[in-house]
Formats: sequence, structure tokens, C-alpha cells
Amino acid sequence: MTNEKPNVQTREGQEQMKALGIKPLPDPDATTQPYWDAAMNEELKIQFCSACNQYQHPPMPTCERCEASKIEWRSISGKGIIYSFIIDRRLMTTGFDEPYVVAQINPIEAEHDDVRITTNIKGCELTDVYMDMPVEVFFEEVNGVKLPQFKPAPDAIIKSQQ
Amino acid sequence: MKTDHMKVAIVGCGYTKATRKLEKPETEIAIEACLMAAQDAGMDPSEIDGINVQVHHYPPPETQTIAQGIGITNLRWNQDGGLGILPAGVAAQAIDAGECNSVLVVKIMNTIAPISTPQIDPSTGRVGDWQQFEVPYGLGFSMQRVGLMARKYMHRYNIKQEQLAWIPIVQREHALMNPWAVMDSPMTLDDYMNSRIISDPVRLFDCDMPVNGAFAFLMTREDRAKELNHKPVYLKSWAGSEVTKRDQLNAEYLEGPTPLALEIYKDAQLGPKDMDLWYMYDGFSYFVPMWMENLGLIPRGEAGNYVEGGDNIRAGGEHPINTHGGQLSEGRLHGHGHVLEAVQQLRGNAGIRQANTANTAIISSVFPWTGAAGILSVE
Repeated sequence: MTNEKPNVQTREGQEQMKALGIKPLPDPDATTQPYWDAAMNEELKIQFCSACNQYQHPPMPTCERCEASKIEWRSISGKGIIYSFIIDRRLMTTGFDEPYVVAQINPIEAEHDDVRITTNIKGCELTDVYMDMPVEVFFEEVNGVKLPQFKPAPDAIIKSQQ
Repeated sequence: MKTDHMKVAIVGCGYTKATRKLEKPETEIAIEACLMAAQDAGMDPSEIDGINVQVHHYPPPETQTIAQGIGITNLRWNQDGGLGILPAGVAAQAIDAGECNSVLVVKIMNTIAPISTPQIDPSTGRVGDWQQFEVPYGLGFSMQRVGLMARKYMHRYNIKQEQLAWIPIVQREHALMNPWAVMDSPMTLDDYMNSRIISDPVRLFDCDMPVNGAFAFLMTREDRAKELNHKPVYLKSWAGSEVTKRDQLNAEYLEGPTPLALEIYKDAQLGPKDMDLWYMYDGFSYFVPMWMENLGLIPRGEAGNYVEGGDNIRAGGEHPINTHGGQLSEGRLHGHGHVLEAVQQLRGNAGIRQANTANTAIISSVFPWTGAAGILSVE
């Protein structure tokens, strides 16, 4: 019996983790817990600073701009547009099958606040993803955790379905 | 930032051979590069009283062992760390403040250490810190973040990969004239466009080339610099970015030069038009156009047109870029290659790579959104 844990630094270790069904999942702390709690309830909430009237994400203990500690959590619609995306053609992170898309989303409520939510884009072909594509949130259960994920919104243009 | 009491110059350069595998113990190659830099300057190692060692692997070698190996008997200043032009600034400040007179700045590259990977708990898969918002979606590496920035940049300004391809192509041309460069075969536009896509839009040929070796330069005060072997190359100014609490998501500047650029021009009393040679950090090829625009060397969104075809940026062109081949083709020296080449160009001994006009050089180091930059001049 060995105690050896998979070595995440190596490709072999990543394959071992995959075989064991281990997928990367958030390890929330006091600052980030509300985000993941909301996701468990299938809600998307991000931080809002009422002092400078702006959203921020990822969450931080204080407002990044004005340092105000009075920061609240606000529900947002889950609608947004793709700020940018990559298509990973080689295994990058354990738990993923290449190729896969990683995108950053500007939520419509926070369009001018430099808020980018990292996500995959599901529900369409990789080659359907385009810049500024309208997308909407859904929640994907992974090993008991609900992750916010994004898919094309009804008004997105899906090339492969035309 | 700038020195207040005196000018500080780079007076000597030393390189070991850059190799794909580490061929000698790292302490030995560090000493070799440092001794070469001292000899190049014509300074006896016993006169050197400061050292900065840069290591980005673990465990690091002992600085004291390196200092003793060089023959430093009176070490008055030692501050390890930093990348590229920034440690030159830190050393200049120490000299300016009278803490020491002559400093060796040495970078040791050892690729044996694993690349940085996301901090995933191997038993549970859990990921903390800011990485908890990225790694569960398969985003964990610099290359991927660069891909996100690169696609945004090209989309915003309607710049094509076929245009930016000229940066790696021209740098390869330069590398073929550089005996230290590890890459030794030409690259065509077709070669680039057919190179493997890793994290679309980032291709294999957009990535720098890991190498092993040690790379040093020697800095000293103006009065001493004038007595040595070469024309002194002065560090006129330098600055690091203001890094926010979430540096991977720093706000983008969309108009004109960044605050960092404005600071180095003001301190040097020079402007972007005065910069003859452009040494743009190229850990990934996309950093080059982003740095050119951040530093105000060309207007926002113009890099694609400026580099297309290569004529403006090749040796002999209007503003040669990375005349040594950069990290894409000389090898990943973490910004040290850019400094060493700029010094050789400015003092006029870059051999067949020598640019026509080489009185000033602007050097950037590391990511365009969190890195540093500085200005070198013969005056």
C-alpha cells in the first residue's frame, strides 16, 4: 500500500488524476464563499462596491479601486458577451479533454467595469465560438459542486446549425 | 526612476553558451559568465563589490559561493532577484547611493526545474486563491492567458496573424547572425503559419525557447566606466509597473503610452521618437506588439501594419527589433539577452548585426501589463 499522491507537475500524474475521476474544483475561502454558495443555488452573484458604483470580479476583501470595505454581493442576469477566448489543442490542465474552449465573459451589467468571468463555452461546436458572442449562464454539476458555465444565448449566431 | 548623483553605466558583458541541456554545474557557469563580464570591461574582479543573482528555479545556488568563485573579496551589496532591466535599475540605485561601486548582475537559467503548474491538491482536485476561478475551467498557464490577451488585441484592432508573424520571422533572421542563438535555421511565413497550434491563437513558434546557461553584465559609476575597455552605456531611466491586487487581470490601456512609459521618458528626458533600437520582451511573440504600443513607440493598433513584411523592424530597418533574435530564437534568458545585445549595439561591437544608428535603446522586460522598462544611451 503506498501513499503516493499523483504528481500534478507531470503528464503521468495528470493522467492518474483523470483515471481517479479527480477534477479541479474551487477551494472557497471567506472572501469567495458567497460566489460558490450562490452557484449551488443556481444563481450568479458578483461583488459590487456601492462607494464607487462598480462591480468587481474575482472577489476581494475590499474594493480594488477605492479600498472601501463596504462591498456587497449582487445577483446578475447571467447574460454577457465573450470578451476573448482560446481553444486549447493540447492537454493543459488535468481533468480536461482537449480540445476545449476557455473564454472570458463580460456580464452585461458590468460591461464597463473590467469584469471578466472565466468559463468554458458549451452547447455548441468549438468552431462556433466567436468574439462578442452573446452567451448566458447555466450551472454544471461536477463531483457535487455546481460550476457556473456559459452557452450561446438565443440570439447567438451558430454557424454549424445554419 | 533615475540615478540622482551620478551616471551609472553597463561596462562589461559575459555569456556562457546557451544550451538545451544544462552542461555544467550552475555555480560554475555563473562564475564563468561573471569573469567574462569583468574581463570584457577590463576590471579586476577584486574591485567588484556588489552582486545580483537571478534564479527562477529551486533550489537556488549560494550567492556567496558564486561571489567567492569570482574573486570578490569585499562584498558590500547583495540583492538577489528580479528580471531583465529592473535589476539593472536596482543595482544602479545602490551605486548611486554609494552602497557599492561596481555590481555584477547575473542570470542563471536552469530548465531542469518544472514549469509552474496550477496549485491543485492532488487528492481532492481543490484549488484555492484566485486560481479557483480559472483552473476549474482548464485555465492554468501563462500561455493560455497570453492567448486570451492576444485574441482580444487582434480582434480590437483587426490585426492578422499573418502580419504579426513577421516578428518571429525577422527575429529568426537576426538569430542567424548571432553566434549565441540556439535557433539556426531560417523561418518562412509558411513555416510560421503551419506551426502547431497549442492554445489557439498561440502557436509553437510564438513561444520562446527554453535554454540553460548564465548571462552577466557589469555596472559601475561614470568616472570609473570612462577608464575601462569600452564606450560606457548609461542606464538613463527605468520603471516597473504598478501591479494591482489581481495582476493577471490588470486593466488594459487603450490610448497612448502607459504610465510606466511616460515615467521612463520623463526621467531620461527623451521621447519615444528618440529610441533607435527596440528590445521588446518576447516570452511570447504577442508581447512585442503590445509592448511597442504600451511604450508609445507606435500608435495603438498600428503594430500589425508596422511589422508586416519585416522591413521596418529588421537590422538595417527604421527601428530594428530584438537584433539578437530575442527569446523566440536566441533563447529564453528572461530579459538578460535583450540587455546584453543592446549594450553591444550601443557600444558598436555587434559585428554583422550592428545597426546603422545605435545611440539609444529601449528595453522592456516580462509581461506588457505587469513588466518593467528602461532606457540605455551612450550619453
